[in-house]
Amino acid sequence: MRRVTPALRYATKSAFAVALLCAIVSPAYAVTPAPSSPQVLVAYMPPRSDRLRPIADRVIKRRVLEEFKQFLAPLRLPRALTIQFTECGGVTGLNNQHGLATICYELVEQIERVAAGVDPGMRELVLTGTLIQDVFHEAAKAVFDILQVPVWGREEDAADRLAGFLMSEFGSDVAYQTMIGAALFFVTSGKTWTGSQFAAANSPEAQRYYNYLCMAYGSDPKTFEYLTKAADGAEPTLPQWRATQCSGEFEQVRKAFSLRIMPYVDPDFLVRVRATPWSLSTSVSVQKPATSVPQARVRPPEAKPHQLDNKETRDRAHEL
Amino acid sequence: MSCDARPAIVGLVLLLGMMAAPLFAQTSDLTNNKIGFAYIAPKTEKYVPIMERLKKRRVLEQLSEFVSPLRLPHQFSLVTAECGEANAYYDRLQWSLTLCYELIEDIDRIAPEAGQTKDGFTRDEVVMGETIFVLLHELGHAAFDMLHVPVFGREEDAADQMAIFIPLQFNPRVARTVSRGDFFFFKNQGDPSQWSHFADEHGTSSQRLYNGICWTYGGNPQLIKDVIDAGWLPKERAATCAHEYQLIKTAFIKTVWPFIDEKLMKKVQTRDWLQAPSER
Repeated sequence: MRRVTPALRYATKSAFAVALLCAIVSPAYAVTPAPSSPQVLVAYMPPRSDRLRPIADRVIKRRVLEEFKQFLAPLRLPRALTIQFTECGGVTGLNNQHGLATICYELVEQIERVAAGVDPGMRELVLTGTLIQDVFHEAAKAVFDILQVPVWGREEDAADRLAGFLMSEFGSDVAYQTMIGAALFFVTSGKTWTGSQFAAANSPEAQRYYNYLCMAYGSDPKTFEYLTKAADGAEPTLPQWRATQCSGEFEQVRKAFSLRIMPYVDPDFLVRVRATPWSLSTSVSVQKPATSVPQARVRPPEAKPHQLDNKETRDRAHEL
Repeated sequence: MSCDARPAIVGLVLLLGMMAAPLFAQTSDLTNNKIGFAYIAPKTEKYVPIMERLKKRRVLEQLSEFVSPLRLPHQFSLVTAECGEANAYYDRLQWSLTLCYELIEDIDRIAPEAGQTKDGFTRDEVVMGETIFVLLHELGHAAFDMLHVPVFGREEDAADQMAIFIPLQFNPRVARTVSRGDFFFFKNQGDPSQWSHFADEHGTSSQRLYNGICWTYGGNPQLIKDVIDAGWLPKERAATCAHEYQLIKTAFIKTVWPFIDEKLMKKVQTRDWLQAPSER
C-alpha cells in the first residue's frame, strides 16, 4: 500500500462513493459500466488543476479504461473493482484498498513527458504501453485486496508480475506493446537511486525494466528472443544469466494465478476475450523489430551511472 | 540463490545417508522422519574447523528439529558443504538445502572481532543472527517449492520475508538477534553500480536491509528500537510496515500454516533456540 494523500482520501472511501461520483460529475468524465463486466467500473475523475485538464482529455480520448474493461470482462469478483484516473497531488499517491484502483493524472503527465523525449517512432509505444501497464498494475493490487490473495514478496513487484502475466495472455502483439512499451519508459525515465532511496516500498526503474523484460521473454521466448541476442559480443538487453530464470519466473506467476485467481474467472468468457484480435494503439502502428536484429532502443545506456555509497558491486554475498 | 543442481554433493549426501542412517537420526522429541541431514567433510583444510564448529553447535540437528512440525510431502535433506563459493542454496531437483562453509567464513570475516563491538553489535549476534537468517531464507525457498506455495512477488524477497517473519513468532531475543544480524550483514555489502546489475532477481543489499527493518518493525515496533532510533527507517516507508507485515502474516497463514503440526509447533516455540554455548 502506498501513501494516501489527503487529496485522494476524500474520494476513496469506497468503490460505491466513486461510482456515485461518476454518476454526478460532468458526463464527459464519466463512463457507465458495460453490460459485459458489471463488476468492473471505470471512471475519469475531473482534475482540479488546469494543468492536468488537457491530460485528462487525452486519456479519455484514448479510451484506455474502456479497452481495459474488455480484458477484465471474464473476471467474476465478489465485489466491485473500480478503476479511476484522478488527480492525486503526486505520481504515487495511490491506495488500492476497498476495491479501488487509482491512476494519477500526474503519472500520465510524467509518461507523456518521457514519451516526448524518445524517438518519434517509439513514442506511441511508450505512451500506450506504459498507460496500460499502469492500469494493470493498479488493478492487480486491487484484485489482491478484493480476493484476499496471499501475496508473498513485495506487493509492488507482485503487482508488476501479475500485470506482466496478464498482458502476455492476449497474444504477442499486446505483450509486445505493453511490456516493451513500459520497459522503454523505465529505461528512459530511470533515475539514479542512492542510499536511503532504496528504502522505498516500490522498486527502482532498472529492476522493473528487467522484471518486465523477463516476464515478456518467459511468456514467449520466440517472440522476445531478440532481447537475449547481441551483436559483437556486447551484453544483450536481457543478460543471459537472468534470461535463463525467466521461464521459471513466468511459470511461478502462472501457477499462482491458476491457484488463487483463476477460480474467479469465467473460463468460457476468457476464451472469447482471448480469441478477440486486440490492437491497443489504433493511431500509430508499431513495428515489431525483426527477431534477427537486436532492438537497440530497448537497450539501457551502457554503464548508466547508478553509483552508490558503497565500494563493491555484485558482492558474492549478493547471491544468497 | 534458489536452485542450483549439485548432483555430486547431493549424491554424496544421499549415499552417506543410506550408509550411515543411525548417525543422522534425530534424538529429541522434535522429530520428522522426512528430514535428514549431513555435514560433508570439506576438501580444503581451512574449512575443517568451520565444519567442526557447526557440528559442535549442532546446527543441522537444531535446524531439523526446528523444521520438524512441517508436514512435508517427501524427503528433505539439510547439508553443510564446501561449495566453491560463499553461498547457501536450496536445490529443487534434490529437495536439499545446503549451507556452504565459505559463507560462514564470509560472515566470520564481516562480523566484529571477538570480545569487541562494532556500532553496538557483538560478534555472536552477527554470526548467529545472519546464519539463522540465511538458513530461514533458504528454508523459505524450500517451503515455496515443496509445498507448492503461490508466490506472486519476487521469490527472493518472499524468502527474506520468511526469514524475518518466522523468528518474530518466537521469543523476542531470537527475532532481535536475526533481525540485527541481518541488518549488520547487509549494511556491510555493496549496491549495484551499473544498470545491468539490476537485472539480478535479488533486491539490492540496501533494499534487503530496509525490508528487514521494515518487516521487523511492522511485526514488533519495539524490537529493534535502537536501529529505528538511529534513523534507519525513513518515515515514508515506516508508514507502510504494519501493512506489509500483515500481508506476510496473511500469506503465511493461508499458504504455510496448514502444513504445520500445531502440537509440535508449540514445543518448538517454547524451546530457547539460542542456548547453544559460544565457540569463540
